[in-house]
Amino acid sequence: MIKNTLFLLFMSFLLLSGCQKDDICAETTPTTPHLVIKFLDNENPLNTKAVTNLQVKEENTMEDYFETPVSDTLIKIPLRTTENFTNYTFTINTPLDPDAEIEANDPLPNEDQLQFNYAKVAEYVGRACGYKTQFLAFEASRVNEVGNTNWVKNIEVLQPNDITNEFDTHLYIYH
Amino acid sequence: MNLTRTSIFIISFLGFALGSLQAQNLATQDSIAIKEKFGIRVGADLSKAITSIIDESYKGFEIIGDYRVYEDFYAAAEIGIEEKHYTEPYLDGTANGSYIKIGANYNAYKNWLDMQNEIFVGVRYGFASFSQTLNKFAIYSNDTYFPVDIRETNQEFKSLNASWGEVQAGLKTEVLNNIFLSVHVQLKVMISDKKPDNYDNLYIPGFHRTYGESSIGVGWGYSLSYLIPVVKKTKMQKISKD
Repeated sequence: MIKNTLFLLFMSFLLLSGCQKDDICAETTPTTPHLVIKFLDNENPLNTKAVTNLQVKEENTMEDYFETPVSDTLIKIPLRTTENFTNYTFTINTPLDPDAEIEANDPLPNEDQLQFNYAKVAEYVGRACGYKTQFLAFEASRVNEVGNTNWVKNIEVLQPNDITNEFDTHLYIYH
Repeated sequence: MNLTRTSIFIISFLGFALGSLQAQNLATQDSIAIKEKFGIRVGADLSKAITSIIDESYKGFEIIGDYRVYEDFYAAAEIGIEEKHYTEPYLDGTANGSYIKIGANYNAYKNWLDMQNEIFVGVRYGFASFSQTLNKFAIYSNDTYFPVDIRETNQEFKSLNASWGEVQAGLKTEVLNNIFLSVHVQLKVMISDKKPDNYDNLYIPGFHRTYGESSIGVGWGYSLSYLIPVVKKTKMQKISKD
């Protein structure tokens, strides 16, 4: 009896000492959420409408966010956790090949500036993941261009305007 | 049975020879009188002391004590201090505090004559009072578009506490007169755990590392102790005539 107990204890000890499962931050663990944007049709606001060859770029960053321009109705982009604002340039009709010549009937690229403001709160996640940021009181605004050449016709922040997960859409862009 | 004998032999050997046995010239008697020692045994955990010297991230000391209450039963307690600096991929912190463990041991080993070796199992109630310091942390993001956001905080969370139940199992052997070497393993289950706001008790003095959602903990000890004999009881032990 006592020998079995000892053996059992010793085995559980070995097993648990070797068990380090929470050392790696699991992909499924919700961490800092992206800003989820849905594109809607400005003429028919109940319908989604895909953007064509959209590229986005944060103003202080040298690189484009997407490896290649996307044509979709939904995108997820990161917000800065170091500042309480992030300014992005949204460009549609980005040439897929930047070196190619623009042909006469190609749609012209159109850049719009969008500014996002928020309060950031660091929240503890766990040993492996450290902390995540939640973006509260999120606000978005478009920089108006002279001559009303914006491709973004209207934007709408969804309520409640706190970005705490990636399951919800946070911003509608009408175009 | 073979296993227990072998274990006893090995730890005896490791700790130095057991000294001569007193079983000679007794063949004509049915039984002999054995003086059994009862008393307070005090000592210190060597593994914690050694780790404190070789591991820069750890400082700890533990005093152990037990008292033979009746035959194979011992009242036992440990008291200690620990300071542990832990570094994880996205955070860095320090736990600092003291703990006490109170309980009992049962010796399952039937000694030969007046030997005082033990194969023991024990239970403990542990309580720790401590602080956690979050030195720095990173904001985790699965997106690499922005550089990693690292924050130095040096934020101390004071007056935290935890309690747990613990099962111990180990071996104890008398290596020199009244001097014992002991090795044991510990399995713990958390009972209560006062966590800091927006942080966690990643290490608890006496309990050691915590495992996220699970309340299980493990530990081990290697200690040296000295028996202060208080009472000597005489016991008759039969001698087999084979």
